[in-house]
Amino acid sequence: MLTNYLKLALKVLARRPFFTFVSLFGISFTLAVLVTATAVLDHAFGPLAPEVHRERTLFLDYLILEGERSQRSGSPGWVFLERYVRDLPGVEEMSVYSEPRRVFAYQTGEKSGLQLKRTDAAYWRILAFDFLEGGPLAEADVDGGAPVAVINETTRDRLFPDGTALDREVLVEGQAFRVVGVVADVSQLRTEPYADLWVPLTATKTSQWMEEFHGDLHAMLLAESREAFGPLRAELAARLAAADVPQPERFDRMLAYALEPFEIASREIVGSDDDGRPATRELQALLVGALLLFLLLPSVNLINVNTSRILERAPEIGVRKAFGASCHDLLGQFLLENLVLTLVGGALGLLLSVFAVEAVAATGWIRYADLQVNLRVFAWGVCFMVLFALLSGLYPAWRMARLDPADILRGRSL
Amino acid sequence: MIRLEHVQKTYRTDRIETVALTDIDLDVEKGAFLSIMGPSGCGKSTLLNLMGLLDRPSEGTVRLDGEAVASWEDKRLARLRNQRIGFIFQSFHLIPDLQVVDNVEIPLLYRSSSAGERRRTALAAIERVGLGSRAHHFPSQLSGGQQQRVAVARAIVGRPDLLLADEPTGNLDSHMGDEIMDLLEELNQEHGTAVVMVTHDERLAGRTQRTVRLFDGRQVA
Amino acid sequence: MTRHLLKLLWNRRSANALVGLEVLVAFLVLFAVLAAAAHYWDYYRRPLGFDPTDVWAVEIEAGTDMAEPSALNPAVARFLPELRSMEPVVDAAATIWAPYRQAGWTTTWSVGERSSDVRLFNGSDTLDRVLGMELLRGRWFGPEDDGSGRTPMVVNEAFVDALVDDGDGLGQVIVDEDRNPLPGGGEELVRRERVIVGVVEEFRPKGELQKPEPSAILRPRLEGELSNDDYLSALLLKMRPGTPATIEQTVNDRLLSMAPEFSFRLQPLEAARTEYLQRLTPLLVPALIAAFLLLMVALGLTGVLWQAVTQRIRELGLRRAKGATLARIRRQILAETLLLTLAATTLGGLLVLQLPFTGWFPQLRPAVLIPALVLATAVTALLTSLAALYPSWLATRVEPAEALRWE
Repeated sequence: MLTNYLKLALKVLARRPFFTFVSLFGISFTLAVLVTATAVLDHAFGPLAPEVHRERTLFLDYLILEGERSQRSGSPGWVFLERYVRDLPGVEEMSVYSEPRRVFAYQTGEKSGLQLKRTDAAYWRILAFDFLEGGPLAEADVDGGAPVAVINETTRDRLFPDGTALDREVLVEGQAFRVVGVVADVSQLRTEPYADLWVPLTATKTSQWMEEFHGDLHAMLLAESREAFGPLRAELAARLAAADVPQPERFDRMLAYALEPFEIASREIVGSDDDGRPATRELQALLVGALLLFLLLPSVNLINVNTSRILERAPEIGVRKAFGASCHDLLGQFLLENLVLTLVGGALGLLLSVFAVEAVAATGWIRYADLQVNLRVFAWGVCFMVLFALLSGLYPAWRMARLDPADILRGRSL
Repeated sequence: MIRLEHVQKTYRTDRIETVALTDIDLDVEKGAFLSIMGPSGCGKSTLLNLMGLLDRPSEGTVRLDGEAVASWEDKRLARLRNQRIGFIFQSFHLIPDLQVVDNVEIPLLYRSSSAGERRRTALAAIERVGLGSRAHHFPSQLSGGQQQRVAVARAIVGRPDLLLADEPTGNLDSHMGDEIMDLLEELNQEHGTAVVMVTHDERLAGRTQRTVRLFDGRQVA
Repeated sequence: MTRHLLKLLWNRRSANALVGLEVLVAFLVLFAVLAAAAHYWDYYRRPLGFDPTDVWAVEIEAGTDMAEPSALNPAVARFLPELRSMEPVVDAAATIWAPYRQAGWTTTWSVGERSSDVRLFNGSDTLDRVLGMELLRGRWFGPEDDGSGRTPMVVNEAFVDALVDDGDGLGQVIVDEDRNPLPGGGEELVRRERVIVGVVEEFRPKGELQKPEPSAILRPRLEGELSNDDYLSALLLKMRPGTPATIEQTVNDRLLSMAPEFSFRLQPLEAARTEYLQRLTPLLVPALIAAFLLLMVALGLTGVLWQAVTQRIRELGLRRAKGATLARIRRQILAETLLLTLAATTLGGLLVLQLPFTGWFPQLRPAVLIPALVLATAVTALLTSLAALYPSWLATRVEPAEALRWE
């Protein structure tokens, strides 16, 4: 029975090439867009190197001071992090590092724009960078503010086109940094590890940053396990509730949260509630809403094409009903046909998305993007396919199953 | 076997009401060979659809083996059509995308039997109508008469008690028409299959046991 | 004839509903893309108010937080004459932020009954020459404004329209009072007076896509008693045309030698402009996707209409037999399609016209809404009639005799 239907499905598709082309075009294009979008999301949020411990890492990148009439928010500074975030329970390792800052290096007679990040030594223990040459910034470098740097591959090739970079100098903003390591490029979407040039946290012109409450620093907390998140967050909240808020004449409370990357993205894209908590649900709703909205037009289009295709086969439906097919049998048959069509279109779509993903990577919109249609993305693609097949197949199949066989066989439906 | 009592069929659209059949009483016995005659639009096909359980009467009762079918649900009717009734249509209604043997198999698809068994039964039915060498042709590769014989094979493959034929020879020349008629007579005599045939042809009607004449939705003889 | 067609459309409503829905959604997608395009184009084509040609920006950084004017502004006062004396530098000025930097300072000012949000920008005395700004009336501020007790400012036309009752705006004084909390409790009343000395047509330092709105350029103090209102963070250098990029390093070194405690970041404004516009190119992705969606819709409709035509061969054949001409049949199919499109776009248009009342999209001003609505309707109609052309041609090829044989 199944083989019979499958045979028929393929024959029907081959008989009306135009309809088949329209359907396949819609399905493969829709899936290519979805798979490409998923690849970008996976690239931003998946557990990829160097963030190999991402599932048990939290970040603190935002501090709000709030009073009745004033509010100050932004990245926390050294004072805040040392006073309230250091030594939280369940934390295996804590790193403090700066936001990336744009600097220019004038070398080889050319100007190179670089993203500079200042880090401590723990940063290199939490993140598993892929070292091509040398090694990370050492504890002693950070303690002493040594003028040393780790650069990425692209920067090495730009600044030192003639070969190794180790022990050579990068000159930025009047400071000369000796290269101690070269790492593989990390994508811009991985905001915490991303940079072109990493130098010790302490290698600054002044030590003003060590007195700042608000500043340009982030904290990365590697918890022992995900189960440690709860107590860790509770302790942080308790510390902030008991803290002496700076400038008490202006501010009366202090808000900061240790967040996962998706929560940080929620705050940046959607916003936060009155207590500064990220609108994670809203971002999820937004993504699902966007997905459904995007699927609406291709689905309606495919429903219409499918309905037309089915009406054309009215005599066949009549015959099958006359010879004993129930509505359920027919519903199954046409859903199966639609699934075959969707699978063929989906396979084409996956193929297409490989090119689309490469095209997105080639635009350079995302620096060092290493986008891939990997197994996880592929699995999502298959889920989308089945969803799409159901969305676009149910109504036409239902409509067809309800056609009156007596009408059809008399030719009255014409 | 199948019995129509005071059956009336009315078609309604938004405004117009068309009466297709009025007060029909008809009893088809086991092993009967019946022909239905009448001018175009007199309700012959509607009558056939009612007997084939494809349509429900507006008034009156259709009984199968003495039981009224009015309240039966779609699934049960589908099973009855599958097991008890075979259809033959004027324009054959073969599925162009399927080979002869796959077309003939269709009624067996909706029963529980293995693929091998289905294939054997279908080939036997094709053999029965004399098209054994054409089992793997597509309908478009056959002549009209051959196509109608495939349709007959499809109608009998499930061993129904009742064959309903809607002008089975209407699209064929008289020679081919006679061949089909011979086939129907054989089936009726050898297996005791009841046959109800709509026809325009007095000569063919003369070969049946009994002729029902319809005029304007009424039974006139 | 129209009544006849309308009746047909209505009688086939269940079959038409989904096709209509498809046209409706396609119309909405088209409208969204066109409205976004109209919005950006409307901003893009307006004057920028300055000329970035041969201007280099030097962003000054001190530590990680904002540099206090008390620390930075005296240094700026030293930098400017020094830079002007360098060979390829024609002129130099200081600003709160470099142009094309996405930072802003907004406040609400009132004059009498009128009140408006105003975008503020600090720029030194020579900014007009460095950025090639042309005044519509009045003058640029300068040393002659020292000691007047009022901060002089140059505003744009939108500012005058929003806050000045009548006249050209020159000499209009704007007073704002602010209560600042004092450490240890209590409040201090801060009163500032500002006066309009010049008017420019427009000034949009954030770039081509900045919303046009009331803006004011204020004169910062470089020395003396400084407050947060005098905040500066960038220098702008007008260079001789054709100055090579290698000079950047020379300028950078000179600045570092004068103030090693700061860091300097040099970038030609034209490079900043290119980067700014490049950051916007991902906006094209939704447009590209929409184009593909519309192509898909056009193909799908062609298929649907094609099938509808074969299904209606009998009816059409009958009409032809009754003397309808070929052209008339073609017109009928086109007309039916367009009628369906009209119904869908009317519904879509009504939906879209509700949007301004929701307040969700303040960008949907009449200059955006009306062209986008008209264009979306026209393109939808074009798409659907293209999709109807092939099937309608097909319909005219059906022979009446053949069509009737199906009866």
